[in-house]
Amino acid sequence: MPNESTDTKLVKRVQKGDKGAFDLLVLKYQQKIVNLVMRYVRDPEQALDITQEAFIKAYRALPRFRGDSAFYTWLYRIAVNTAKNHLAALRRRPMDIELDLQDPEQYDLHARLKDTDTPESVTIGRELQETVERAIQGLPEDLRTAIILRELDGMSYEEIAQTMECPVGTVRSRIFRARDAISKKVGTLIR
Amino acid sequence: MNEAIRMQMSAFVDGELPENEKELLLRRLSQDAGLRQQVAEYMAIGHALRGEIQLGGVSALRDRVARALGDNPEDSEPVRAASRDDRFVRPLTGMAIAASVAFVAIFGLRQLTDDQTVDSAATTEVAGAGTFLPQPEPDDILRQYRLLHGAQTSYMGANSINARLAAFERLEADVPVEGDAAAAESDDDPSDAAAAE
Repeated sequence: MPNESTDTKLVKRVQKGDKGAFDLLVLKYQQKIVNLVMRYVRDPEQALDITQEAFIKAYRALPRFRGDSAFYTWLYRIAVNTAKNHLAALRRRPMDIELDLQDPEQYDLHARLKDTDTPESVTIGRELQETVERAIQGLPEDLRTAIILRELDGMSYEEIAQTMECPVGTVRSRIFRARDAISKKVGTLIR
Repeated sequence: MNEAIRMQMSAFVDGELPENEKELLLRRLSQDAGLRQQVAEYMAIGHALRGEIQLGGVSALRDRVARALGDNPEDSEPVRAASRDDRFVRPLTGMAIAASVAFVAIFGLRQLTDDQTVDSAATTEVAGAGTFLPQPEPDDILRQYRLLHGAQTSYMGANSINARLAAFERLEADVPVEGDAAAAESDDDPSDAAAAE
């Protein structure tokens, strides 16, 4: 999703009482915050509870958020503090706390998520992944290339336009049409 | 939901929506849960494409947060800072109560002192009839007033300072102060996560 200026706009809307704007912020950051909290607690259910608590604290504190720091930086600190306080309450030693969290060789969150996820959610996740891959294969080449360059290579629309030798507007349209086609195929799995 | 809006949402998910289109789309997204669900789907497609494992239950997190906020009557109102009215009305109410207590105590004290001076014979008479009830001494009345007044002022004090501080500390315990240097120097520098965005 978009950059910090979008966050600032959303924060201002929340401060005016717009809960839908806060829902967008939750949507944008929920996965990141869950991943972050999973560095502190083993149990996925606890991680979800802590994440929920962190978002609620953020919502309640938002009237006093002045925007001196980026919203995500602020939310990040709330989540870390909430997780640490949760551990302190449990008098349990945080796991992996001495690891270098930026070193993927030492720290493999995905491996842990695989270990702790329920069989049902793993099955759904795998089914979703396979369906998306099949849907991608069924796309016309220009749409497939555009969505792959965006989602897998993380290219900007401008970069994709240069690579595919087409206007930025065309890139925007192709990526949308690719997503729309995939969405129709995987809709029931996502909703 | 028309195609133009869906195309805007697709660009929005990628952070590629032009500024002039953003404001209107944000307003629409804020007001329409169906549009937000579409954004969630576009994001989920990206996660699946990149093979990112989503923890079971994350998709329901939004509902949980919304329920938690909506179920609390305090939160059904728009979030706002404490109003000026609240800040002034509460201390004034406390002061009014304290003034009433003081008025009743002083007026009562004067009344009792007068009664004791003028009607001492009547008190003796009651005592003689065997129905004597010990009358409070002026010192006792003053002590009672001080206790009552003290309780009221300490209540006010607790309400305005200690209780508010305690409540504030509970709420603020995990909310960082913006620009906090200590937080910035922490090991949990969010830059790595932000960079991964």
